[in-house]
Amino acid sequence: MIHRHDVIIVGAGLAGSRAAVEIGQVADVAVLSKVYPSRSHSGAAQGGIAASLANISKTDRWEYHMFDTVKGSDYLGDQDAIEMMVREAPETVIEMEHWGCPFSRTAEGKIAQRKFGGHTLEFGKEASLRACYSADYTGHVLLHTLHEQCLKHNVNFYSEFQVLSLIFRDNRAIGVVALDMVHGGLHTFYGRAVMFGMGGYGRAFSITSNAHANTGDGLALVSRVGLPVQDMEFVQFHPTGLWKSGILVTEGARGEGGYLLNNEKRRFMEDYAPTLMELAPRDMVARAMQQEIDEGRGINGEDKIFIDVTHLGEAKLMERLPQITELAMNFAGVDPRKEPIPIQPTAHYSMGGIPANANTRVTFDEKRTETVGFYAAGECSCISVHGANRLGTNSLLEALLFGRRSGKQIVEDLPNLEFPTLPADYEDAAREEVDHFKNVSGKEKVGTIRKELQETMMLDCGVFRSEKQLVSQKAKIQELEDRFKHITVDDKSDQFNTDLLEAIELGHLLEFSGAIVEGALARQESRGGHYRKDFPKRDDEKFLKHTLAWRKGANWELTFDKPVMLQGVTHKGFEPMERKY
Amino acid sequence: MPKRTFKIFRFNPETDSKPSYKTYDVECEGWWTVLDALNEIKWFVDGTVTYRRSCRHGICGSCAMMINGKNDLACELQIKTLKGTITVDPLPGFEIYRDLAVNMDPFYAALKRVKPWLINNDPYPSKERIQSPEEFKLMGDSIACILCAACTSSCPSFWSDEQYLGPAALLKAYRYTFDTRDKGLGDRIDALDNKHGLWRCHKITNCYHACPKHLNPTEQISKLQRRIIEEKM
Amino acid sequence: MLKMLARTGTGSGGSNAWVLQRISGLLLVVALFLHYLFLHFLNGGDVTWNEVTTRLASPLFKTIDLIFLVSVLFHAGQGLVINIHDYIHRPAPRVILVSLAWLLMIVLLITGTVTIVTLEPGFLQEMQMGQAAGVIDAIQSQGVAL
Repeated sequence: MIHRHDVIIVGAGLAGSRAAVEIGQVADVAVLSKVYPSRSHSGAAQGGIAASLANISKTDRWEYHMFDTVKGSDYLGDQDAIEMMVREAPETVIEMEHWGCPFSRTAEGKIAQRKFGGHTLEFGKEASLRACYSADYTGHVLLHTLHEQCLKHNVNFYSEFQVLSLIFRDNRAIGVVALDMVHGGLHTFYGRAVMFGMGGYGRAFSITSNAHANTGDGLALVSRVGLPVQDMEFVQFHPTGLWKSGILVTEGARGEGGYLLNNEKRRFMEDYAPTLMELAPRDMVARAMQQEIDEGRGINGEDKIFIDVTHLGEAKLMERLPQITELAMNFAGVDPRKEPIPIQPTAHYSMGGIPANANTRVTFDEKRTETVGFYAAGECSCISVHGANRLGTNSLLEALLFGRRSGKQIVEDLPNLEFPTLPADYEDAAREEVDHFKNVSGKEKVGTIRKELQETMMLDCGVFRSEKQLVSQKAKIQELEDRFKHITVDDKSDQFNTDLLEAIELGHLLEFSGAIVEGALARQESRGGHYRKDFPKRDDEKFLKHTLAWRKGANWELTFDKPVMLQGVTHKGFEPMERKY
Repeated sequence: MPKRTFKIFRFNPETDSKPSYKTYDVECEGWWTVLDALNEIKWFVDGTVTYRRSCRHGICGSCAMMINGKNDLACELQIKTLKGTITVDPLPGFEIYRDLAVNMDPFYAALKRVKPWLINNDPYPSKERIQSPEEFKLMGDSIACILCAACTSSCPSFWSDEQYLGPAALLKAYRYTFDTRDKGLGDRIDALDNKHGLWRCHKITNCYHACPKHLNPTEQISKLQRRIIEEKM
Repeated sequence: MLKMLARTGTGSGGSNAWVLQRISGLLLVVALFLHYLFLHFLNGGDVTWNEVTTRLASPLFKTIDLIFLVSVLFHAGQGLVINIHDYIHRPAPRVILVSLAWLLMIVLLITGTVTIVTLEPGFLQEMQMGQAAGVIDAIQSQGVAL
């Protein structure tokens, strides 16, 4: 079946929904989502959304927010995009309030704001209360408010549609082909503009805070049409994931005074960050924990560390960290009032993605040449406001704000974009893929290959990386890609075939995991979320550049020719300095 | 690792004339939830077992199902809290697409009928609207609803009247009606003041017992009923 | 048609029924309170047949009892219908059961109204000529209320 709409948006999280609200008021927009929109993973974000509203920290300004973001990015963030983001943050957040988002309030009735790691006043002088929040479900209320705005503006939703391919010809995005999960069958959507807000790629790792749905589908789709992906090696590992499941224990557990303990029951952070201790930045704590584990000081010699909050007392726990108790009981079967919670670093956020500029137009080379009618925002994009490492509460901001920019840009561009004509072979790639999975019968199982991929990625391309590990992981991915050709999909039905869905998703995971590994291998330095044991220093001379990676046959081709934007739009920019806290 | 028995509701409309149960023995780790066991079955034993899941930490609302006769989120329910054979059924009251996946369209349609968005035509102020913490609290925890449908699907009034809004949609109506920024009760009243609306709630409190987020739709619906009567008087 | 009937529910909008259910509920609470008050606290001595029937035969109490009767039957009937609507899903049984419920209420309303309206204080003397006289005497001598 063929569907024609002015604008096709893929993904209904914060970025996609925000763009849809903008476009839905003036044009015919369709939003495709692999889950019902309100189930998108934006809803999982707890802490807040950064904006220098100065409701509590009265002297807060966008320049401070810009500095924090640039420094947090380990200077790999593009400062023009960062400047736009931090300047437009207040109006973007206030607009959500106008649309009914229930923010927690200050005594004066303004949007409440709280501290978050890395956000400071006067360029690092003291902590800033910059994170606007709603209890501990900020992402949830933002997502639901936006979804409801979409309902108000009669946006066309196609829920539970898995996108299989991007139709892209002569530098122009034409549409997508998607599988209707509920009834089976391929649907082609085409329009004057295509926008991706498809989320991150945390599911490439075995221990992740990401949803099952976060299989980085957008990355695989663009690389299959010959477009590059950018900075894929930068993955943020959050220190406090529940052991084995990787479900996130909020940063508040450390903030409120929780201790990190190794098997000697010792607060090992005194060896790594004697002043900040447990309050050191995410990547530093994650590395300290991993080092303890690697050197055999994990609890029982296993890959876990304890976070102990028992000394805070039941009253404080129930008042300040009510969710932790429930979370630990529900997902780890541990009562944190009586015993420590087992944790380990968990793959949390994907800094890399589809290269795009601050207008969210997708670009395809080191000169930032734009494609036509193709836009990307949110975690799947790499507009590069996070560079090598993202600050907490900047992710909701990025998704919402660039979703908004994207919507406005598309509305502005629509008069100049004609409806494209569908090429004759528009559906071929998708149909071949589905037919292949339905007919192939080999000995391999999707579950087994995925498990091996995720576990080896965690082990050899995780918190610490080295040439030896990465070379072996590269070979492993090639092996898994070969074995993937010989799987069997048990389920042959059309209706609600989630077995087929998981095979498609695994194909995507395998596709872009290679880019993560190749990027990590080629980037012989340590920066932000990427840490090479054999190159522990940052190397601005060689690597103050974005990685671009193209899929060529079975291999990836990399360049480090795309410079980082070191100047803002109006701001002169911040010179790279050593990133220390 | 203890071995547990899962009795799972199976129905594929393409091949089955009627539903049946299929039993799986799974070796479960101590920390597993019901969703972990379902994943183990799907990934390594029988790929045709069908259910929805996404975030697996109780915020997306995808995996609500009936476990040992009670609606709950599969991802939040620790296996070790359940005794004996664990029976897993789809949410009652909905058409079954396949196995544990049901057609939720009526649920979302009901939601849309209460106009679930802020209605206020005043011009926007230059900054945020002022709302005191006390006014914020009027909305209660209704803002924490994840739309998993465990409540609506447990409601006998919904089972008997497919057009009934159900507790989730009514909770949403409550959320906006009791938001001090909202002026839309007049727009919503037709959907609410209706025999398939507010007055269909008979305080059975199944919704309260089913809610995995520990919300209390029954109480909020009562408040909304009183509010509507006040409005009409 | 049957399906439409089965969906009729508790009146047109539902809010009237909801309000009436609460009003009748409130009246029941008041009536129950009056019952206890008169029977157990304000009767000033033994409860005897004559005393009770005399009181119940007064126009004031006939009015109170009629209100009581109507509220209890409306409240019960409405409650029954609500339960039938919640648990009986097929149209035919639903229509039959709802009709039966209201029919029962109407029968009870008629018998109850007749009983209340025709009640006279001299009722007891006539009854004594019947077979039940001995039993009633026995109860009466114990000072137990009927």
